[in-house]
Amino acid sequence: MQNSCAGLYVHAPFCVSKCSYCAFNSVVKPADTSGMCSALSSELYRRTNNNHLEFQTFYAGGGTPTLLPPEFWAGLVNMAGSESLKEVTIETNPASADAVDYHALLLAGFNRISVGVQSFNNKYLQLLGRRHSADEAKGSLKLISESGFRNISIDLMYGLPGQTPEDHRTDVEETLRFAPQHISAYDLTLEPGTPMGDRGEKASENFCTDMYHQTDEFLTANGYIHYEVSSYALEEKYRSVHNSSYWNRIPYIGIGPSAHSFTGTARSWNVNSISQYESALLQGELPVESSEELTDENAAHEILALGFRNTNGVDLDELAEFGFRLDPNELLQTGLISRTDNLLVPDAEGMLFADFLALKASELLAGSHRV
Amino acid sequence: MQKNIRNFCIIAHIDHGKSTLADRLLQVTGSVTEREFHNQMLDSMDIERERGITIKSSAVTMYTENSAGEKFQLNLIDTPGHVDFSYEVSRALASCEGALLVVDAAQGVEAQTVANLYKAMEQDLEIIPVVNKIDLPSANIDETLYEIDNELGLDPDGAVLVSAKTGQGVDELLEAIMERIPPPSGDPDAPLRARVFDSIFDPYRGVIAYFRVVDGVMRSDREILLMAIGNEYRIEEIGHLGIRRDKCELLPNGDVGYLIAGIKSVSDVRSGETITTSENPAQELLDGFAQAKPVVFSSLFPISSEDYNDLTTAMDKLKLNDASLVFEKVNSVGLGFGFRCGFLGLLHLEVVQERLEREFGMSLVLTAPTVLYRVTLTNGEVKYIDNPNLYPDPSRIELTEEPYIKASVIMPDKYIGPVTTLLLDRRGQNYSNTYVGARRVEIKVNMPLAEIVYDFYDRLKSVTQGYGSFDYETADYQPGNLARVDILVNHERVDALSMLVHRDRAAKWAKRACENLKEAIPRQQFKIPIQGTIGGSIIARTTISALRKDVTAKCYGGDITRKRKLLEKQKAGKKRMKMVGRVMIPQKAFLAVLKRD
Repeated sequence: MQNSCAGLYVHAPFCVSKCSYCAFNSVVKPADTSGMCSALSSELYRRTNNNHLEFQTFYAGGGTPTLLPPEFWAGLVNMAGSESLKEVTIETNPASADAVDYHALLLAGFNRISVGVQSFNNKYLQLLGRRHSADEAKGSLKLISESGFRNISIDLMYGLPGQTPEDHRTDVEETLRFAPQHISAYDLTLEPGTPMGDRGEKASENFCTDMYHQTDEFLTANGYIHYEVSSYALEEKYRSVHNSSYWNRIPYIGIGPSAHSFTGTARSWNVNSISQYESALLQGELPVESSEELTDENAAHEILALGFRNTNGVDLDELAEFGFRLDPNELLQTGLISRTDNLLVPDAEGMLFADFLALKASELLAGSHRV
Repeated sequence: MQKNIRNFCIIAHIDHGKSTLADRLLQVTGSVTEREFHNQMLDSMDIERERGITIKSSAVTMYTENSAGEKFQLNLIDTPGHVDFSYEVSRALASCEGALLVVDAAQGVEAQTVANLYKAMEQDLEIIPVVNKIDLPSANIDETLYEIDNELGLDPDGAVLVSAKTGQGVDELLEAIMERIPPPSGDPDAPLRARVFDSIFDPYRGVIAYFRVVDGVMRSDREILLMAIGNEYRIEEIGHLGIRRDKCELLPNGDVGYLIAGIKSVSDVRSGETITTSENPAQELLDGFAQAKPVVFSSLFPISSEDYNDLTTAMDKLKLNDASLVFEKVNSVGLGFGFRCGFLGLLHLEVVQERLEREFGMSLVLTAPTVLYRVTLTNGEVKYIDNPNLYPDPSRIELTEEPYIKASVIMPDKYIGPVTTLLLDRRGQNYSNTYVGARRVEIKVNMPLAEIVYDFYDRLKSVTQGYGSFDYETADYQPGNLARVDILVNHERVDALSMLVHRDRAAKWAKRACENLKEAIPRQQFKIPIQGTIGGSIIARTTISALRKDVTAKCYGGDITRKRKLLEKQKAGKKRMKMVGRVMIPQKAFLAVLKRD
């Protein structure tokens, strides 16, 4: 593990109830979460002990991380090294029943909060299986702001079954009334095995595409920077540093069940099962399920799979480091990307075709490389 | 010696247990040890084994004695079990004095069995009916014997009841072979004449030819002359065929064996060829030499144009052991360089495709198979057209004719309705039906060969729930009102998708082809019109709508592996697609135009 490990992700696998679209690794919260808390602390300790890691970012995700006590988070942030940390984020669910003590989270060291609003329309909130109403979401946002958070991100979903571009526009307008520093707007992805995924419920491709462009146009007109297919920042400094590290292949450690880690040359991931996760740590072992060393070709594929999704783009020099040349002419002809020096940068339309661009580029790769 | 040789073959429908019976005979006569015994020894190609069919014939020599203690040499000549290879069947039959006609006791007589029986009868073979699978609970021995009597016209009292699986009745069968099949009757003192019934290519030894000594004897220290082709060779080795080759100095009159003589390609020693000696050549060829004619044609293209040279090498190698394969270079506007190939039938086409993909690692596009049309031009010139793209301008055509077949379908009588409907839908004419057993019917019909080259077997199997069997022989050409339907993808004609179709059905055919292509071609960033045209007028159209986005909204946390693997999977999938103009067309789309359901 390198010393300059940028990110730490902590997966809190509990929710009050499971949303009908969610394929993340989460279960209904047990009465006693102390076993998980000690397992997470233990994993962080094992992974960082003797490694002198300096984290730039800390991201508490899930699940619903606010279901674990603020004191636990305070301890974990402290362990991660509060001097070096610049961005410390926690996700929250705006259901009033969760009764989150936002002030305590601020004191625990969090300086950024990501609020899973999803929609300001009760009809769609019900459809998604969210436990909160539009009014509760608004109340939570007000509370969060009043408690002192100055870097707030709002999560929205669109492409919901029955949703029209007008419905979506209303959601975006409501969101803007809170002037959040960051907005994530996700097109609903149907995941097999989830109730919505199995029913195949989603808005038409035309509507989804219209909603994407509408979000882009409306938010950029209001001063936001569209820097990743689903991410908007009010200023450069409000880009999500942590998420960007995933997209730019900067090393990170993930702790918790099913969390992924990246050393710069190898990826590994933890077991899914909560009981296996906890028992591995109790036996003094890291709960790693599997890992893979990346070949140069794997690395090049990652660069392509990630690069066209965000405005950092694909760096031809970075591909060259892995022994690959890429003649970008055919890609430039699509009109979806532009070239600045050795960077290939997608525009908003280009990011919408990121998978297409990655596939096309992967076929154009040439060069001598180690496989 | 000659009087103690018995040459015989086994005639059976697919699945009626021919290979199992052959294996059992090998085992009972001690020609193979227990350790060597594995099922279906005679079928050596992977594809044959997987599909449970025999494509290439081969031979095996066994030694046994009768109940009186007299020693016999039995030569079993294996025959292909599929209608596509009927020429090879007739060459194998010509090398035998007898045939075991195997009928499944649970399924009764099938169309192919009847067709091959007639061929055996034409060669005056002694036929021993064998009722197999008598151990099955569903075996109906009386009904099967009744069909052997009524349908095949054979004496049911002479039938031997066996279970190749358990070995029951196999000793009686061996006794019947020795007692009832006559010994070879050639003249041992005449100049050598041996008939080739098969040959294979061995990468280390060159061609190994299988033959039957008809006149004279075969000695290992001679120069031979292949009479039909006129080439001379020095014999390197002769011998009997067992599970391994069993080298010897002399093969007596009437015997069956193999020969190695530095022959480079199986095309040089075709089935039906006559072998004689250079020093004392025979005067006349044995009858029966004819070239197997291809009846189905299709073009093969490498998915990636860079692989054309590899494909050329692979085709040349394949040709070394498949004399029936004919091909020539073609150039398609959309698909680049490839080969126009002639095949004995659809199975042969599939076998060639599978061997190219499996043994040579090629990724291929195959165009829709077509038949050989005969076109008389207004100036009186007659042309044979095996490629729709070479179909002359209609204004220059006086008459177009298409090849017909006489088809026979045998099935339980409850399927008469659906089978008749299927045959009429495939332009069947001169329809007749007769009862051949208590509840079984044979339908005879004349129909265009073009109607069976795609999915006919599958449809027949499906409408008869597997109980229908099919055989055909080629018949004369008949006039056909044909038109070439062209397919335009994104306004560009894709020559590999053109088809000659009966004019009355062209509109329906074109509509279905467009719909099938719409299903088979993935959506792309732009909308793709697909049109069917005849002589420039559009008779069918559909549109593949443009893809408006191609991205997954969310990266799952740090799980980048999932994204990368998805990309790598798509990349591998695209290697199975062909770029035609700006459009990616998957391999399967080229055959999808023919899909009927």
